[in-house]
Amino acid sequence: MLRITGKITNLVLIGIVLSMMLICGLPVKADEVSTDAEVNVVDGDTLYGYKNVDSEDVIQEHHALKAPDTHGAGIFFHGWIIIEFKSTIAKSSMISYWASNEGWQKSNIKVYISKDGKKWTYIDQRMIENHHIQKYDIYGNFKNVRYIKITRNAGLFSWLQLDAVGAKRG
Amino acid sequence: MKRILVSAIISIVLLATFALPVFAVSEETNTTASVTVGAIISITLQDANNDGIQFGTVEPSDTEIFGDVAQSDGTPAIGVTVQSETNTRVDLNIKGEVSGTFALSNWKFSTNYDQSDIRDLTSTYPDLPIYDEAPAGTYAFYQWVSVPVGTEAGTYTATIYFKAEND
Repeated sequence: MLRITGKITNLVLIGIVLSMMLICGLPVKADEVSTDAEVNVVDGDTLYGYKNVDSEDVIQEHHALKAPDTHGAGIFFHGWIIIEFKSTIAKSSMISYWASNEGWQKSNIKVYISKDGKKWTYIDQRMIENHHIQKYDIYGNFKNVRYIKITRNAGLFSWLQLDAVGAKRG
Repeated sequence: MKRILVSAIISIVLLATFALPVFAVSEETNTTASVTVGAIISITLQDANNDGIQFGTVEPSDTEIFGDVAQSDGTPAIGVTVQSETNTRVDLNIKGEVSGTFALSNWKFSTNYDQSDIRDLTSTYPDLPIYDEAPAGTYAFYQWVSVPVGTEAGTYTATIYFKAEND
């Protein structure tokens, strides 16, 4: 009887030791880790800003060029920026821009387009207050679009982050 | 009588001499001791930009393959580090998981920046490991994605798994 009790005690002890080893993570025969991957696919028919032509009260102008990438140019005070597309879009049904408002005051935005960078056509005005970069679309029948100008009208305590501008062909 | 006495003394001395081991003050014996050291495997990820694998914004293309925006030659999107506490050589492997319409075969990887060994990710770990019996150190996994023409605009994600094991 004593021998049986002793064997049971030994088995219990072995079980405790094995449990402790598992709890402590030893031994480990494999390890696995993971991470996320992300790609943002845009419409291939959209032309994005190619060149910063002129600006006022704007920093990091180059961040407003190319496709949206969550990094934007900062437009302060009553600043403005003129961006050129790589080619003239003969016919466009949608002009877009990607922007957010940073700070306490909303940004009053006006958008103009031009074929020569001199004579401008006003196409949109809106108040932006979203703190996350968002796409804003302007629908119409736009012709010969080569330049886009965005102006901001707001106070000292905020600024506009302009990530990208785009014009859809056709 | 004298001879008997001498014989008796000699006998006693001989008896005492042969009987000494019985009364030894030390004894030596032995047994076997053993210890089993289990395998310890530990890996971590080195992310080129500490923001996951980011391909940024791309336009569909049938000719171009896009890389992680933070990776460059010598700086892979992901470096898998076999930690120093790992006490065995390990096989390193990679697999992917997606949901939605953007196929897993669009997500790719290579161990060389020049894409000379570029491969599609698979949903299970390949039979042959990407790095075989690797000692402690950091191993490159360059990340790529192809976006065929016709891919609908949107944001697509995948989860990439890395595994180290001792087979």
